[in-house]
Amino acid sequence: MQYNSLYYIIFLILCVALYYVYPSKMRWGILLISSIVFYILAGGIKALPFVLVSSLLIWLSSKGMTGLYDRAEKEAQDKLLSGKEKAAYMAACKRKCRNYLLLPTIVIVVGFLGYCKFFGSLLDCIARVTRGDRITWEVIVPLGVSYYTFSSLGYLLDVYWRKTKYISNYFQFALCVFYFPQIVQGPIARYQKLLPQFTRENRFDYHRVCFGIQLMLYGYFKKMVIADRLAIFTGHVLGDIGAYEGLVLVITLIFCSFQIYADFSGCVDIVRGTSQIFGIELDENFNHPFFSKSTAEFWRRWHMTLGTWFKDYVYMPTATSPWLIKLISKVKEKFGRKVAKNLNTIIPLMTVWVLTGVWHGTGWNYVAWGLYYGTIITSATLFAAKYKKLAELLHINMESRGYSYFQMVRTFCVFTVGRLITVPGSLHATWQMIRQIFKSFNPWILWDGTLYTLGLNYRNLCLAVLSLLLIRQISIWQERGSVREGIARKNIVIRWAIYYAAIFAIIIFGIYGPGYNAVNFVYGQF
Amino acid sequence: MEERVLKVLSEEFPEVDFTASNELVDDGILDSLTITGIIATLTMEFGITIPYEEIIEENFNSISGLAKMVERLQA
Repeated sequence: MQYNSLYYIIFLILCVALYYVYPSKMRWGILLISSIVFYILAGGIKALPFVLVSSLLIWLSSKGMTGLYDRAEKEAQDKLLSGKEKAAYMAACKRKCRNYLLLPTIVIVVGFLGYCKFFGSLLDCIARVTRGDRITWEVIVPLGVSYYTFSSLGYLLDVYWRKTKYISNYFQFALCVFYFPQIVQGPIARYQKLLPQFTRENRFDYHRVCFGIQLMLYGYFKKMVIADRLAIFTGHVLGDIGAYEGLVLVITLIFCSFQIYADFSGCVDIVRGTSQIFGIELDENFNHPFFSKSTAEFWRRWHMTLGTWFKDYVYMPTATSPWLIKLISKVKEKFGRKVAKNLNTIIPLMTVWVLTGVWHGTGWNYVAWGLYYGTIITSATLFAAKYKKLAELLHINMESRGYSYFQMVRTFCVFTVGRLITVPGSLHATWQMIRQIFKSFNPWILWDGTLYTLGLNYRNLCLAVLSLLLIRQISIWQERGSVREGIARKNIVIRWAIYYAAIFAIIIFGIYGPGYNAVNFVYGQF
Repeated sequence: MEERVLKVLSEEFPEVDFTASNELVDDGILDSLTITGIIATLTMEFGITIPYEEIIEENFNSISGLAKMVERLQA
């Protein structure tokens, strides 16, 4: 059951009805049961025990740590310890928590995540090296394993650092893990923000429900009208890279960038809209990333919850770890302050980006992708002053509108080159694609009709481009203020005309997957 | 202590005006890169270890917050 299936809509209607029929105290229970049913329907019952065991392990570990901390606090109080003595006492307790609870839990949970992500590739690799048959081994990959593992680890680390209180009720904790709008594609949740929303009284609010439905419609439009349409074009070309060259591949890569944005942000709009119907506000995951003026800004506006997760749980702990600070001190003594400062930037940033790459997928191309972004962002930080001086030397007005547009286009190009590293599937295929791009200069494909033979005909290609322009315009309006508030202020005729237009656009122009010829069925008659 | 912390950080980060606000993190004056630089500088300069649980906005929002944290960790 996918978010863009009819079954999901039926499932959602049933859940919403049950949610608001039951008294508010029981509603989080309804959500938990609904989430587990969704998980079984979407991910299969085989994967369920893995998520249950993982969530139970993390919950028990957080409970154990809280117990140890509370006991240590009480003992310190009884012994009348204060200042340095109390700090030393608590530090010993923290070490105990780390060695006996935190680290073993992390090893098991991250080990399982690694098994899910890499074991299949490892078996392939062994088979290639030994030139034998691949060992038959079914790797069960629980739905949303990367998302719920990161969310739960964040919670566990926050309990360890005593930045949040542990959730005393396991079933409420399980709801944070299983909550069905977010488990498949995020956003990566912070449980301390979710839990109070689950347990408070969420009354039926007509406007909030309308807003949720509107956001879902916008998400479906992005996913089914744009992303799935562009996927036909990109899939056609990427399925046989060797058959195409020059500008065809460049346009395919540009479409890949728009496709992934429409696909991912569309899905996030669907899940955030779903959640709003229940009165639960999920974190924003996209903030119009294509308006970014630098790559660093782009990644603050794209998959924001992953970025903040890496910042809080990898970047900051690495950058502030005693071993790195010792290393920097030594470097400062030997090579001076500037080198030490640069090292303090390079090591944590590169660590984060390599891990971000590995999180996105298996294979060396994802490591290369991480290194690519790590290098760009690190160099932009290290040489920021020099770039500014260069712009002054060339008399470039960095405040002008033209320069802003240049920065946005440059950021988009950096992102599209990043797609070139991962989209073909392997570094070998990436290299093949680069060679094919530079094989010929063929601008005539823009007007000789070649583009209409790559899976999308003239009308479909125009529709995709017009839809992209539409979401660009909506994004501009969203930057200025809430579009949904604006719609709500319109009179009933205009409001409902917009709703109907959105619904019919999705029904008529949506792509409904292979085997369902929507173009002939609906669009052909239009 | 406040004066000493301000002097050290102003020398290390001349591009940042640490007196501009009492909400340096919330106002976006300090980004994560600068915060990690501040942590490294304070650690080396004052011979302290800043545990991760001390890295909260309250401690980094102003020079007085930073100075209090250094004093607390030196105690």
